[in-house]
Amino acid sequence: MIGKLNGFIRKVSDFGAFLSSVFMILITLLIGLEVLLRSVFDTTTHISTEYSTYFFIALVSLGLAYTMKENGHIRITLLTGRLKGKAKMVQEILTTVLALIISLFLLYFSVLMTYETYSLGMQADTVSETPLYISQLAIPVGVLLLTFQLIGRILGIIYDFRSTDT
Amino acid sequence: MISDPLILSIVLFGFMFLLLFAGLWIGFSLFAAGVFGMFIYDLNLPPVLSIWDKIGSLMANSMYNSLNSWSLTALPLFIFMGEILFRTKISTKLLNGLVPWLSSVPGKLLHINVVACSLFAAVSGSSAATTATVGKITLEELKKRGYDRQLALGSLAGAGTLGFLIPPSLIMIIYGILSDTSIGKLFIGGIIPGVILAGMYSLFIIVRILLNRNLVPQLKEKYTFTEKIKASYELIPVLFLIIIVLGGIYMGVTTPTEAAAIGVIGAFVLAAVFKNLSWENFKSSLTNAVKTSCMICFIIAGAGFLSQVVAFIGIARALSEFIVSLGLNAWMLILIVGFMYFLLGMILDGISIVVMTLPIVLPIVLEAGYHPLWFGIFLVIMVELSQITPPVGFSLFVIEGISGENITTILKATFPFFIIMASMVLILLLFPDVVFFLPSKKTVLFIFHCGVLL
Amino acid sequence: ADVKMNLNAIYGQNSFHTQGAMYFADLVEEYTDGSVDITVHPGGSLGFKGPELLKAVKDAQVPMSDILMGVVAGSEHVFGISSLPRLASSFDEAKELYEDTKPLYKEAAAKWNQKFLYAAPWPPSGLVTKNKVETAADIKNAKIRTYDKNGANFLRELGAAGISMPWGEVYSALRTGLIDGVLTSAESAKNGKFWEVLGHFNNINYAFPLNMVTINKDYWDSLSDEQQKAMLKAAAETEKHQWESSEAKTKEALNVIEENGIVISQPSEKFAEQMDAAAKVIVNNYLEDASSETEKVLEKYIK
Ligand code: NA
Ligand code: NA
Repeated sequence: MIGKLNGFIRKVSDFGAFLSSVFMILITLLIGLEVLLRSVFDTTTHISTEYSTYFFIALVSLGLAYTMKENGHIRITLLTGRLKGKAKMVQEILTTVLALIISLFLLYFSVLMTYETYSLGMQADTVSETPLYISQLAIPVGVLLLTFQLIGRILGIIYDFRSTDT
Repeated sequence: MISDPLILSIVLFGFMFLLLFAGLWIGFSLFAAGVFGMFIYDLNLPPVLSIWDKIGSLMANSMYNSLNSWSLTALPLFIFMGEILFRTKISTKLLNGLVPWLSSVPGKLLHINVVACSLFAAVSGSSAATTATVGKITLEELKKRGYDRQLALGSLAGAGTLGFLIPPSLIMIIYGILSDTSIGKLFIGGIIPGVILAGMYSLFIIVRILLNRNLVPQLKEKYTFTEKIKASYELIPVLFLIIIVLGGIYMGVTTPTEAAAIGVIGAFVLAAVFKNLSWENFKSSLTNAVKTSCMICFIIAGAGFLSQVVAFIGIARALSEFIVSLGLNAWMLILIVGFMYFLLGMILDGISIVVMTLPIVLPIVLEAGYHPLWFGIFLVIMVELSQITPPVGFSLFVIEGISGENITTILKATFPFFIIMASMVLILLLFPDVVFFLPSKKTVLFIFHCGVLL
Repeated sequence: ADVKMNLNAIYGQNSFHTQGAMYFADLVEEYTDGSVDITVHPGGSLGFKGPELLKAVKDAQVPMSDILMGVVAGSEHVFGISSLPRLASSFDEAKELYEDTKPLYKEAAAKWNQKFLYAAPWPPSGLVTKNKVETAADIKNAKIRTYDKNGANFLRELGAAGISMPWGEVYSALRTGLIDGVLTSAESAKNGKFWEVLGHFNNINYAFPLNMVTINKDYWDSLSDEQQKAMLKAAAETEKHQWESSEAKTKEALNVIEENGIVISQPSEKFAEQMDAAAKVIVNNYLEDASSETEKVLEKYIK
């Protein structure tokens, strides 16, 4: 059961990374197009700076969970690297729970931020007049995935410890 | 509630180090320290406002604002470019092409990080991007060929920070605007210190090799001139890339940020020409680039939030004011200021440091008789130092991301290069002319403005 | 009771609006006998960027802020007025326009849970270019950096390409020839030392964009009557001081860039007509979404 749930969470994180990759490609193409239009056709997309930055926000937010899954986020292991067995498990669980609390806190307030930006009708001061909530949307989504991945991590630690214990 | 900023800062950073050493991820530690800082600070809120709302909304807003940055957008692209080059054997070609030329220099290919970073620094405005791109190309190749890992990692960390010193430079632009100094002169002023620094890195490598021959593979080969030329054909792909990226900037076709995208496209073109980018390679370069970018940017977001809290609490301001109150002579002043930047640089990112301290520090430093141009270069080197000091050093994180080595190993490898960089600060103090020499030459300015130089 | 507040300022220590905020903070300290202590944080060091500031003050993320009105026009339409092109052609006209629109600004600020304290103009934007500009034909297809959507649309109407680009990249873009000019004030041209890269300043009085300082309503309500009165007195004096010094700064900046070799010119009659026609498109477009009060105020200023 735990294994299945964890497997599902890992798939969701992978999907986030897939979206991140798509945004990486989109940034490249958009800037490439801007350079082409400007240098050859004396015109501009008007939105290249703005939207590649939005895509970048999405790239980072949506990839956070996958990076956690792949142990890509870094931590200082100078002291904790010596821990073994149960002590190691307790340390892992405590830090992951702490991260989960921060993640939940960030999730709640980023949902609030995005919702308010939406309901107040805030727009960017650019030619595109893009509603600002669109540029913020990826943050709550990405932090949600990260929250799931942290929960999955806790489950995984308990599961592993049990299975190695027996 | 604590109201004295100096005590506040000690408590705050004590708490942060506790989390870091407990093994909490760095990004999360920074966020947590920020929350903690807001709590212990005497906020003076009107009764109708909740502190939780205030902290939470600041945190969400700061996450958004840290990432909503055009210049940061180039970072994942440079990392992506490095990943592609790494997987398409273009990096192998680069090293093959350079072997014959460097074979007579003690240290041989170990100089590649210094050479490539100096070149690449002329393309990118940030040190993290320089480190990421060059490191991805060189580290694995050096390992495969049996070069000393420590020297490879350390020289990358040291030379990567040239990204800020050799123009274009993000930090110089910010400093120039804030301090009313000519950005053009700052750019030129950074060139000689940059070259000296690169030279000292290479010199250090040579000395290490002369003391211990085992740090490089023992392939004592002699190359004839024709062989050297022949091998140089291998350099063509990389030269092509450098030319389109650098050329794009200096011919006025792209901005430095846009150049990153042109670099990615160029890397794809090369991969297509040499037909060695498989679908699998493509996918793994993308996901790896995503992973490294997310790791760094999550820490940047955390550092952004912590910086915001530090600004609210007034720590940088208090430190600067404290230094002023000491009434020091010019020498002591600059040493203390340098030490303060060293301390701040341990935990904050470079741009925050500059923005937060400059309003107070700059007038004092100018009052003491230092030239704004000189102080700008001094500041850039201090910011470069902050890139490689723990616990928050972005170059260190980048190297951890691309090499897979743990942070302790990287720190040990970086230490000698940190010392070299610190001695560069002394050189600046003793020989301020290294900054003024080029900008005082009218012709250099002229050539530079025509965009021909470099 | 003693109150401590942070005031967010986006621009650097030496910039005109940050100096104004500091002037205000000093006056407040004086008039309240030190019972209201405002700390100005320059250079955006509190981590705010601009478009979110109306909301940031509303939610008391920061108690007070200096806000560029144009950049929050996407949140509240009325704040877009001062960045409309060519409504005012002198400081006197700009002041008149401001007095006429002030009630609208106060009302809008109140809607966003904040109290409007004062506003002052940026020195007016001109056209800083490599080559001399006599009519619109001289900027045909030229790449000119602007700071907002009005500027981009205005330049497009004139036949040029408005490029949006962060201020930090402008200098090197000018140097490498990526862009041909900048729509900005003499003051910014002076601070950016644009004589190193550009040759001409056409004094087109494009707009007199306003910056305002507001305070969160909950913080405001927590002040005593005397403290509030003292704050308003300080605000009125700061406003007067800032308007005068904006005008003085403009003259001084024009002198400095001229001394450093930039040729200053006034728009020809033909160019003025072309610009007014272009401006009309932008203003009409703006009025489509404007309230009837706004429309009534602006009628007087549309050429
Ligand atoms: Na650089
Ligand atoms: Na550091």
